[in-house]
Amino acid sequence: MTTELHAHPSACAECHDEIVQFVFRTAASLGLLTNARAMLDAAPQELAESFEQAVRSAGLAS
Amino acid sequence: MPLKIVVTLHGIRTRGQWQKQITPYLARHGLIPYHLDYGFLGVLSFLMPWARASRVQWLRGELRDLMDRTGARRVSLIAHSFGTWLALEVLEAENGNIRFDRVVLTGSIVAREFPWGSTLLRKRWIQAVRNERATGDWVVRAAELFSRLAGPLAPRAGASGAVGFTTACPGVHERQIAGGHSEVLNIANYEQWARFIAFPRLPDDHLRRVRMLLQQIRALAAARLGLADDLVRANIFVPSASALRMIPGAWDNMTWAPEHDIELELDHGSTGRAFTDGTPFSIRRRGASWTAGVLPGPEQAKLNPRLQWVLSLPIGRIVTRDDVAVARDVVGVLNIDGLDSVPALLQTPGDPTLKTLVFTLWASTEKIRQSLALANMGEPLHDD
Repeated sequence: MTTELHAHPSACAECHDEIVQFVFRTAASLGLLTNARAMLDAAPQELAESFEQAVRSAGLAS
Repeated sequence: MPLKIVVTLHGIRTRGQWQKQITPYLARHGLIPYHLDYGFLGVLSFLMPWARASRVQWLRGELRDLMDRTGARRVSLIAHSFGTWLALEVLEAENGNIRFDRVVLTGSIVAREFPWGSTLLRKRWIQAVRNERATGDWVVRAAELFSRLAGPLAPRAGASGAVGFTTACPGVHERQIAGGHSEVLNIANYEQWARFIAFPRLPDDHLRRVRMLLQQIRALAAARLGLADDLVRANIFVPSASALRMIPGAWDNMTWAPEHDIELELDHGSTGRAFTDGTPFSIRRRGASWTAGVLPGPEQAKLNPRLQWVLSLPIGRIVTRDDVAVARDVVGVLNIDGLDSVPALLQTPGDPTLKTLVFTLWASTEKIRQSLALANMGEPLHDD
C-alpha cells in the first residue's frame, strides 16, 4: 500500500495551520502491513486483534 | 452533550401501564421521561376521522409546549400502537417544526411505505428509529386491512409492527420477536430501548472497552511519536444534533473541561473532514491560534490553549474503493492530539514511518467501531 498526502492550506487571509489528508492506495499494501504489524509488536493483544480484524475486513490480509 | 427528554405515548384501549414501568430504565441511562396520556380511546373513536384528528392536534400542542418550556430542539420518543401513528402524523403535519431525536416504535401501525429515506436521511426530522415488531401481532394487521377497506376516511395505517417497513434505510433498525401486540411491551426489552435512545452516550459495558482501547491507542501514538505520555490525548467525536460532539467519558487524558462540550461542524477541520471523507486527516498549528476556518470563535475558546496538533481517524468499516482504503458507514472520529509542541514526525507528512503509524492507529480502531455500532442499535457488548 502506498500513501499519498494532500496538504490543504486553509483558505483564509492569515493561515496558521495546515490540514493534511492521508490517502492509502492499496496497490502495494504488503510493505505497509509488515511495518504496521512490527509497530504493534509490543502492543496489547486487544489492540493487535482490532488491527487484524480491520485488515481482514478490508481484504488486505496477507 | 444535552440531556435527552423521552416522550412516551400509549395506544388505544389502554392508559399505558408500561409508561410507568419504563421510567427507572430510562433514568438509569440519564434520560428524562415525559409520559403523555390522551385518555382511554375506544376502537369506535379510532375509526372516526375527527376523533383521530383531535388527538393529532392535542399531541402537536403538547410537544410544542414541552419544547418551548425546556428549550429542547428535539425529543426522543417511545410509542405503542396508535401512539406510533399519532407521532408520525404530527411529524409530517409540523413539516420540520417538531423533530425527533431517537424513536422506538412498538406495535407500530404506521404505513409500511412510510418515507424513511426523506424523513431520516434528507430532512433529518428523525435521527434514528428502532422498530420493535411482533410476528404474531394481529392488531396491526387488522389496522392495515381497515385502512385498505375503508378508503379515504381510514387512517393511512399498515402492519409495520408485524412485518416491518418496505422503505427501510440506514438509521432504521428492525427488531423482531415472537408474540402479539402487547408482548412487544415486554419489560425485558426496556433496557435495550433506553440504551438505544441514550446513544451516543455509551452504557458501562461499551464505555469500559472503548476507554481501554483509547488508552492503548494513545500510548502507542505517544511512544511512536517520541512524546511524553501526558502530552498526548485521545477522544471520540460522533454526530449529535447536527454537530460533532465528544462522547462523554470516551476520552483519555482530556483534563481541560471546556473541551468536553465542544461542537464541531460536520465538514470542518480535520475532525469534520475525516468524518465526511472517510480518510485520516491531521492538522497542526503554525502560529498563535487556529484559523477561523477550522473553528468558530466560541468553540475555539473552549480549546486547551496548549493544543498544537490533531490526528483525526474516521471510525468506520475500512474498505477498498477505487484502489484507495476508505472508511464506510462512518460512525465517528477518533482524535489523537497533543500539547505544547508538534512532534518532528508530524512536521514531515511524507515520512514513511508516519504513514505506517497513521494506518496502524486507524486500523486499530476496528473494535471501537464494533462497540459504537452495537451501542447505536441499543445492543450489549458481545464476546468476540
